[in-house]
Amino acid sequence: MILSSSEAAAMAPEMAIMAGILFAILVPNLGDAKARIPLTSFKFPILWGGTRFEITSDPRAPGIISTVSLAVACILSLYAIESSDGKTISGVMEITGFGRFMSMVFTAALAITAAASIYRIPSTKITVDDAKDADERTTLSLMDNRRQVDLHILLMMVALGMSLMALSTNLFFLIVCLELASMASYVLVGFHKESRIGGEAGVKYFIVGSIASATGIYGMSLLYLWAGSLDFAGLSASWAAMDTLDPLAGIGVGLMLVAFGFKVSAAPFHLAAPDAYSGTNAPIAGMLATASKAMGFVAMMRVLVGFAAPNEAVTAWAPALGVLAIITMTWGNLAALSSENPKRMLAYSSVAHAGYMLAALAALGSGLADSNTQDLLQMAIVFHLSVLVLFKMGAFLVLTLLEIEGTGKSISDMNGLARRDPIVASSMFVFMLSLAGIPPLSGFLSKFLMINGLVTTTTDTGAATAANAMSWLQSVDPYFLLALAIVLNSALSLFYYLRIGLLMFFEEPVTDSPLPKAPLLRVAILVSMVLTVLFGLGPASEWLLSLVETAISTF
Amino acid sequence: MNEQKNQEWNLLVPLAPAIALVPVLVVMGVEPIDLGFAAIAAPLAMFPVVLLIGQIWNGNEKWVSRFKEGGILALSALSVSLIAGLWMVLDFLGAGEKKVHGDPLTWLDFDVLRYDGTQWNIDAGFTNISFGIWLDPISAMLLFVATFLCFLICWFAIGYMTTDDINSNRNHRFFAEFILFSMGMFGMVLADSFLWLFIFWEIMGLCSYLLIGFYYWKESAAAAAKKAFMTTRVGDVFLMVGLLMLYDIYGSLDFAVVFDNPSTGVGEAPVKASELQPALLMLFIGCVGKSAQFPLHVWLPDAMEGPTPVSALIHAATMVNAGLYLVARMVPFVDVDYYGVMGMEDLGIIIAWVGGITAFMAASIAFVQNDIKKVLAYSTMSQLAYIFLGLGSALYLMSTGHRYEGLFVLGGALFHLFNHAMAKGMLFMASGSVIHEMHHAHHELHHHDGHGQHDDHDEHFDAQDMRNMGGLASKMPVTSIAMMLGSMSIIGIPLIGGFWSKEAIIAETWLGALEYEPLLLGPAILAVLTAGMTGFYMSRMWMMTFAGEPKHNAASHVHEETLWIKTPLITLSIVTATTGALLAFFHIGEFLSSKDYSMGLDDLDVTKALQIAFLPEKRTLMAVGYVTIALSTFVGPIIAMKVHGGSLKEGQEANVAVSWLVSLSAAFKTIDVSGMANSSLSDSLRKRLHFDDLYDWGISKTIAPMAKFSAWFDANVIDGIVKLVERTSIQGSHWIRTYTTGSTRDYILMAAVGALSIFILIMGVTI
Amino acid sequence: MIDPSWVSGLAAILFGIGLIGTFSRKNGIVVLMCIELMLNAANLNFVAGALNTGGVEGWVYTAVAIAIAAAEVAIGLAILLSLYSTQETISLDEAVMLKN
Repeated sequence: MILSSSEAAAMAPEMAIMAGILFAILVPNLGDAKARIPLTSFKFPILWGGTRFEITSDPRAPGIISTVSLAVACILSLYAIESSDGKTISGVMEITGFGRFMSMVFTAALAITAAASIYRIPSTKITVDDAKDADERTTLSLMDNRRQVDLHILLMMVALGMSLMALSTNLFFLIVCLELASMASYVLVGFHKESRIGGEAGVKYFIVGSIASATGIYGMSLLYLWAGSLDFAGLSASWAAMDTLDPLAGIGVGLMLVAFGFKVSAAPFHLAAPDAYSGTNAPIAGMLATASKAMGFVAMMRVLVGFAAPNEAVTAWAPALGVLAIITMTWGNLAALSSENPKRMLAYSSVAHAGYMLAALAALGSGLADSNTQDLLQMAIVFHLSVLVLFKMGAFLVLTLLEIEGTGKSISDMNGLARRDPIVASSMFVFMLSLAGIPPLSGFLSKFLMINGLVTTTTDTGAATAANAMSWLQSVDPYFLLALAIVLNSALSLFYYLRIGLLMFFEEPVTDSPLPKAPLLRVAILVSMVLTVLFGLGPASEWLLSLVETAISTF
Repeated sequence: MNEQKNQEWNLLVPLAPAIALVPVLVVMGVEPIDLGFAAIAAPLAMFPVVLLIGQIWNGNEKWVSRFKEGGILALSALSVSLIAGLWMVLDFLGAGEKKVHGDPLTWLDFDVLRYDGTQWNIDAGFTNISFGIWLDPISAMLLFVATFLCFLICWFAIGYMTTDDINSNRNHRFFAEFILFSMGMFGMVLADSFLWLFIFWEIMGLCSYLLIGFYYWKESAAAAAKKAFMTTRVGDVFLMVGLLMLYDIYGSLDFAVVFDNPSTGVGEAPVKASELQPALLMLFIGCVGKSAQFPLHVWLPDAMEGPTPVSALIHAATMVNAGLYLVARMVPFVDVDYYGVMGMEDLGIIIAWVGGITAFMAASIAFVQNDIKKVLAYSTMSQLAYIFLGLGSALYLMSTGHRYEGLFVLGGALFHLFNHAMAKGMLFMASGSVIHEMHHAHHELHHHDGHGQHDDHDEHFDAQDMRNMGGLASKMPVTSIAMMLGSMSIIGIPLIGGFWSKEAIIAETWLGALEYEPLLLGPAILAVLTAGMTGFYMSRMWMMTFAGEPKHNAASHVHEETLWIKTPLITLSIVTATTGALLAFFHIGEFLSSKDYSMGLDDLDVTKALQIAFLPEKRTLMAVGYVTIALSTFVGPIIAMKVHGGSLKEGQEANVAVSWLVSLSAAFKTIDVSGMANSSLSDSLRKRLHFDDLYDWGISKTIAPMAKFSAWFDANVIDGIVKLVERTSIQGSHWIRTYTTGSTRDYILMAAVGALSIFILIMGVTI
Repeated sequence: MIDPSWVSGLAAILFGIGLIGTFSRKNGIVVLMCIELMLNAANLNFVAGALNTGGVEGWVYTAVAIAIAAAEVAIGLAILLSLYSTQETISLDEAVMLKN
């Protein structure tokens, strides 16, 4: 596959990530090694191997490389949203505004993850600061460096897989990209292999995840058997031509739902997710909760809305998705209520958020939505996915800060955070409020869009003829229950979100020591907090919404 | 403690970028009307900054000395607002027509479910929450008042608050709440819909609660804050009901929609006065609460527990004017010559009566107050009542088609609002200056005596009690002049400040009473009486404070103020003294009343005003005018001098500007009224006419039992349900978490079950 | 020539065996093998589809799917190894430190 120059330019964000991977491999190995020209005693430097330079052996170097390259990819994607012209590449990819918008979301989430990971993961129990002499110091920093390189290469792999996935027009290519991202994330989950729970978390996430993707691949093979092609165009034509649901197609789509359901951690496929989140470190957990989830939803939308969209004869998957949505959001919120581990709590809350978005998807599939409300619902999902990167990730960043300190395992570690660090605590509170959907934060706006879309979709039909409010209620579609479920679940979720605020502001701190410095992490937290507020109200939110609208129009 | 820091001008350097911001915005092509967003955004953005930095740098030496614990930051935010406000007002004066921000920021679009009598309809995008700027003469005038006074009071507060030990390390809270409050006021004035007006109104309510209760460890302050909040809440509930009624009538709360044609409501249906009048009365009750009018006036005197700048801010410059502003906004509803609704006469009469009663009652209570700030508080109530009286007459006159007279008194009332805000802001700041210095003098005296440095040296000493003062004219020249000018303006001494506006209000109310509506006679008489009473209590306050001999050791040891305190006093003295010129040169009365309602009152300038004040066409009005002048300028002050006047202590010289007054008062000093002070009338006046007792009794008989029942109901029934829900959810939570067994095989099994259910649902639904 | 439906039938049986194996066996390695069975079932389906349609696409899919399966195994074994090095077990029933 050789790209022409214009194609390469269209793939600029991916190119940036590839360059990042390349640099991450090369840079830490730069050293003063010299090669001798055979038969002479003349040596010339080859810069590869030998004693590493001070700057290239810095354990923070890979982190900086990956952060920069991911941020560059993010900005390139942002600029490409408006200008994408639907150029097709190699027959399996199409550069659309939607794809670019999603690559922006993915790379933004991963850039934050990479930035947060810079301060973490010493390779051994002994850190560089404890080194006895210069030699040991060098060795340790080298190991740190290696370890960091692995982590950041994996992160960039995830970004590459996700970014390509968003562009794909072929189901098989989509799955391959999904697998690229997933496999890298399995390793990332189990990256903390020294700890007893690290390995376990990795194994659980891997086993359940790969069974899910095996199921998805099998489902895809059934779809291939049914349609004879895995291009979305071909699948779409076959689907539209159906009079009644072909069992092969139905089972195929159902099995794919299982695979993507795992990715978005929908109940009952979510069970490994809380274990994975609590077993791995916070930035990676944040990545799973934002980028990975967004990837699952994009894949789901590609399949369900992209080709299996309800036609006149067949609206097959919407009821299943609706039931799944209600179970998911209720399970997530209920389980989060009594979770004592903050990462588990956030994991369950992320399950609940998946439920909200599944509800919007179900309404999309209900066949009630006209093109306007379809756009509204898709906008709600995409907007939610993009702002989730801010406040969900932000919450995990705060946990990262606690983890660097060595705490963060129990919810009581939040006690009195406001006294120890008011800025971090108030940011965390903003994140919690936004997760709960309190106006005027962006979490509210996304939830509002969702409910608005659901209500408009499901009530338009009955309203005009109903004589009073009661009969109007009776006349609405059962899918209206989804909106009701979201509202009730939001009320339930307030309990545990506000509890965090309660602990942070009104409990006595266990220790008075200040939180770790970690300037980059703090900047990331602050930026997330500010954007969480800005994207909820005023011109910034309008800008993002218009961007989402542009993206949706090219879906 | 009191080492004067006159070399503090360099602290103002951070203001430079703030001052430059607005011109830069204008150069960048921002429309002047859009500067309103900057005026609101600057304090709003600075609020968290001051709060957070103050919390982090708490006690930091630079933060205290260079930033005055946030005061400088607050001042810079307010200077943005001030300059934006001035720019907008000047631009507005130049253009001379109503301005509306064309493209308001839309936040959310709502579909509205409406019942049209036969069925429910969805109006898609029927209404939205949007925020825009609305600038007409009324809001322009208030914008100027609010931005100007907020800026000056913040300036004053830097001097007042940061030199008191009791505030140290918590001043950032004060300044943060201060600018949030200012933001609320600016927003309320500029908002282009009743909804946003209400939202900002409530923000102000919250901030006034916080600010009044700033010394929350003092029981009285906490109680006062609660009282202020609860009393205004009573009004706010009515206000909200009124807004809902308005919404029901007009289908929108945007000024643009409502005022476009107030006589037709939603769907071009004609609006009936029987529907509109109750709604406006509800709004008026909200105004009564906010502007401390009878019978919801009880919170204002207690609110003097807050720091003095807060008193100046809330009770002179801003919050109490909110109610007046809202009543002034009602004019288009009744303006029958321009699409107003017919048959709304009662509204104006009720408002005028409330104003008249409050004016008289507050003035009479002010007779016996000894706390300098309480006198000012009651004076505020009384003067606001004048404005209500004027607005009421205006509404009445306009609703009966006497548009010319109505607009005239509307302009007079709003002009009185302006004069009163300026004068009262200055008076409060001057009283703050007196209290501040008294406090420090007392502090120092005791410090030298070796009593130690604890905060309350002497439980019995009250720095606000005028009975401890006296003879301060020689010690505090700037303050005494400012106080004198302010008092003159409030009294209505001819040619100074409030005289112009007060004359207009009284004259036109009498006109209305004599020519059109006998019911207005009551408020009209009360207004004249009150004018005389005002002359008495304001003079009394000045005499007790500045004339005579020091009645307490501390009063003879006060120092002059810092520049932080003097500057606003001087500025406002100039404004008050030159109001007449303002009237002459800027046709302010005409501006306030006529620009938007295009009937020209071209001849309302200083000559016209002089003519109305001294030579009205009607003989009766002329008589009323002279009686008013006589009462307020001569009778009231002279009695006050007779009772409380007195020359300074031997060897003390006062500034020439006030020494004449001191000697005049010494010449009149004849009566001793210590006997009268114990009469039952003055006793009940001292108890504020027993309103508090009455309310306490009423509350204990009606609301308290209900509250007890509610508490029981809440504790047992509601809490029971909540606890049940909570217990069930927690149990459910524990139960559902047991399904996360930790064993991967269970996870897979569960996923398989899920997959199976998906098939069943997909295939089952289709088949 | 075998009828493609036989191939896909075999695939369905294989997938079923694999799926049942994943939750009935507790040895991590065996579960990994079962996942391989499931992936191979998909491969068979691709082969059947390729026979059906006669194009080259199906064969390509098969080849790539095999590569995916190989990667899956490599990663899986590595992760299981890291579990073994800390908990000294590869039984999925015994690695239950994380739960609820």
